[in-house]
Amino acid sequence: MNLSYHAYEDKLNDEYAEAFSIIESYRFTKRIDEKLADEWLMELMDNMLTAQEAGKPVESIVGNDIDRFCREFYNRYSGSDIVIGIARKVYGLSAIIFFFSLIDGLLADEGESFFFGRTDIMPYLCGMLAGFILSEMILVVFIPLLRKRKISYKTYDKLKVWATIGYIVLVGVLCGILADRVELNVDRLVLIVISGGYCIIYNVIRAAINYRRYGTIREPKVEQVTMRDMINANMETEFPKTLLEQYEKKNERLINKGKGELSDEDFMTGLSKKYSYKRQIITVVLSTLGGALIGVLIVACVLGASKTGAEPMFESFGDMIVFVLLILCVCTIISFMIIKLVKPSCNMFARIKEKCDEKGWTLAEYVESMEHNGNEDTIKDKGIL
Amino acid sequence: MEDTQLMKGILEGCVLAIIEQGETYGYEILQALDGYGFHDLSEGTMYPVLTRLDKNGCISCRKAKSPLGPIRKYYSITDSGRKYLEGFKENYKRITECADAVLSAQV
Repeated sequence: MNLSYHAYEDKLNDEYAEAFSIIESYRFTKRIDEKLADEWLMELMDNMLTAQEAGKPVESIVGNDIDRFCREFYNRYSGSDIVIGIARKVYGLSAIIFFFSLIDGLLADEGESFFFGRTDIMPYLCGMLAGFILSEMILVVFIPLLRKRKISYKTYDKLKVWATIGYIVLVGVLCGILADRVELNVDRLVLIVISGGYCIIYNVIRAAINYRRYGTIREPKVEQVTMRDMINANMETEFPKTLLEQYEKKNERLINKGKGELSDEDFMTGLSKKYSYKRQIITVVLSTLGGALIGVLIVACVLGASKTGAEPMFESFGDMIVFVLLILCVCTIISFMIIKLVKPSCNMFARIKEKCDEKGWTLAEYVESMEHNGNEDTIKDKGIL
Repeated sequence: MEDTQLMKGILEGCVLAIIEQGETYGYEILQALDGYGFHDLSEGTMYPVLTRLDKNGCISCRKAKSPLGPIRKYYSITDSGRKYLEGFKENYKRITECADAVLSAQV
């Protein structure tokens, strides 16, 4: 996953960060397309970091009148940009509707045709309504407070997090209230054709624009820092220290219980089993499947308790197979994502162990060497080796 | 009298002339303009100028990772940009000669 400009906000000092936050908030007053605003703000972030690095004041980038800067900075938002932004949003919505219409068709009641049944579009409308309510609330309440300096940019950042949580809750509440009371059924085939057709047309036009601009149907890939790069960089420095802390705490507990200390070698051997990649895969897969099974059993119990009479959970064997396949599909995706997350720590541990075995270091000596960038002479001078 | 209107007229040509000297990016362009004496330039004005030049095909934009991490846009002049710049220089020369003649006559 590529990083947005948010990942670099921590690198700005206070005066730059405050200016950036004000400029960022201004985009909402203009209702500027998200992708375009992200691109502009990324460029501004680069310019700000460069100026900061050169020791220049923030005025060298934004001038003495930040409101004027904001007006001019976003003045390039044209009619064609508005149309492209709307088209992009509709594309996202169409893709969601297309995908869930297909799922709805797969889970259709027995006797209802896959294509010629009806789909309730109320949940989609609830999602759009919730998004609209929250974005207007941010625009009308929070942005003016930030621009009038009544709240700090740090408070505004926290409010954005709560707004995201609020959006998820609001969608759930609206779906719960409206979706059960009001049904808006549309022919499934119409939904699939319109949403799918729009997705195809949008991608064809985008490919044509890219070809005209770049000579390829896709935008050129840009080498950039990804979330994985940042996590790996952080892990290189923090992971060994974390292991050392665990080792020291474990020995502290053992001493308090009157037992002997665990040797460095035994501790690392124990960790070798924990950070074995194969073992992690098995653990993750079994945990995910186990969690899914427990979840299904709980749902079945709740449904069974709410139904009167001996009604089966599935109307047909085919429905059950589809349900099981869906659960397996979701479990596979979740397992894959978790395994991707744990792999770096397994690899990192393997590298630490290999280095310690090669050099005859303890974990503490490894951490010390890392802090001195692996300078053996420095370590010898300090009497560690 | 504010020179905002004058600035708007010539900034596009000046930015394009800077980009013609070699591939460059936003901060470098700002520094170059400051170096040429545009101390009172409204910094926000540069960005719409770059966007306009890009949309008009006068410059091309390449994205790459900057040394500090964020994606950086590097701008280069295109063939049509060179033609536009030549036309701008001719018009600028003609207009300044006429303006000089009028203003000198007034004195």
